Amino acid sequence: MLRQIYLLLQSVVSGNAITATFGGSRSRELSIASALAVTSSPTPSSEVDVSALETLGLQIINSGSGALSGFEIQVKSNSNADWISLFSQAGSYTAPPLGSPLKGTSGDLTTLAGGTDGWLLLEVGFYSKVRFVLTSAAGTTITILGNGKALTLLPA
Amino acid sequence: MLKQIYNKLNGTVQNGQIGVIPAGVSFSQVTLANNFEIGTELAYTDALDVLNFDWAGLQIANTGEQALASFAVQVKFAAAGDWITLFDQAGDFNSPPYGSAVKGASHDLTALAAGVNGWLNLDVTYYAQIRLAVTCVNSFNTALNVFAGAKAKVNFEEVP
Repeated sequence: MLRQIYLLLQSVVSGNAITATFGGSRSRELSIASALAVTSSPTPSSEVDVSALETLGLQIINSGSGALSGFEIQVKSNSNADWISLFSQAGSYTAPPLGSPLKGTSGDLTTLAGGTDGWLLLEVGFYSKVRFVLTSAAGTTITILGNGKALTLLPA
Repeated sequence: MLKQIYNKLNGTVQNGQIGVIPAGVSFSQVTLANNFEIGTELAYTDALDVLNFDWAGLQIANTGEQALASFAVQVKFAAAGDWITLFDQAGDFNSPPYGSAVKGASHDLTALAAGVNGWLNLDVTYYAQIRLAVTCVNSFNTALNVFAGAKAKVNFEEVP
C-alpha cells in the first residue's frame, strides 16, 4: 500500500507543479436580530462569531413606534471570556475618537427613533464575539442585519 | 488508514495532476448605466455587488445636454436591507472628511455638467451593494454612462 501511495504521489509531481488551491468566500451576510422585541429591560441580540472577520457593516431598523433608550455594543475577546461593554454613550456614536473600532455611524444610536433606520461600521479584528444590548423605555421592535468581511478566505 | 489515504489521494488525482482551482478572482467590472436617460424624477443606476470587495472605482459620464441636479451614493449593508443614502452633498465629494468612504472624486458630482466625465473612488469595505441615485436639472433629459470596477484585497472564488 505504501508503494501504491508513493507511485500515486510520484505521478502527480513528476513534471507537474502542484499549485495552491483557492476557494471560498471572504464575506458573510448576517442576521443578528429579526424583529426582536425590545423592552425597558436590557435585551441582548444574538451573538455574532467574528473570530474570522475583520469588519462589520450593519443596518439597524427600528420598525416599532418607541425610541431606543439604550444601544450598547458588547464584545468577547475569547469565547470563554466575559462580555465587555465597549460603547454605550451617545458620544461614542456621534463622535468616536480617532482609533476607535467604531468607524462610523448614522448618528446617536442610543436614542434611535421609532420608524427610523440607523447604521454602524465596526472593526472587529480584536474580538471573538459581538452582541448588541438594547433598551427601549416605551418598547419597540428592532432588526439588525448586514455583512462581515475578512482579509482572507473564510472557512466554508 | 493507509487504504483511506490512498483512496483520498486517488480520488483527488486526475490525469496525473491534483485537481485544483489555480487562482481566484479579485476584480469585477460592471456597467451600472448605459445611455441611462434622466429627468427630474429620481432615477437609480443598477446596483454593484461589493460584498466580496473592498474598493470601487466609478466613471460617471454625462453624455446628455443637461447638468445633473442631484447625485447620491446609496448603499445596502445586506441584500435584504434597505437602500441608505450616504453621500449627496457637494462637500461629500469635493472635500470628503477624514475617514470618509469617499476616497476621491473628480469634483462636485451633484452638479455634473453636460458632456463632462467624472469619477469617484469609494472604500466599500463595510457594504454589500452600492448604486447611484440621480436627477437632472429640468425636464430636458440627460443621459449617463456609469462604468464600475470593484477590487478585493485578496483573491477569492465564490463557492457555487
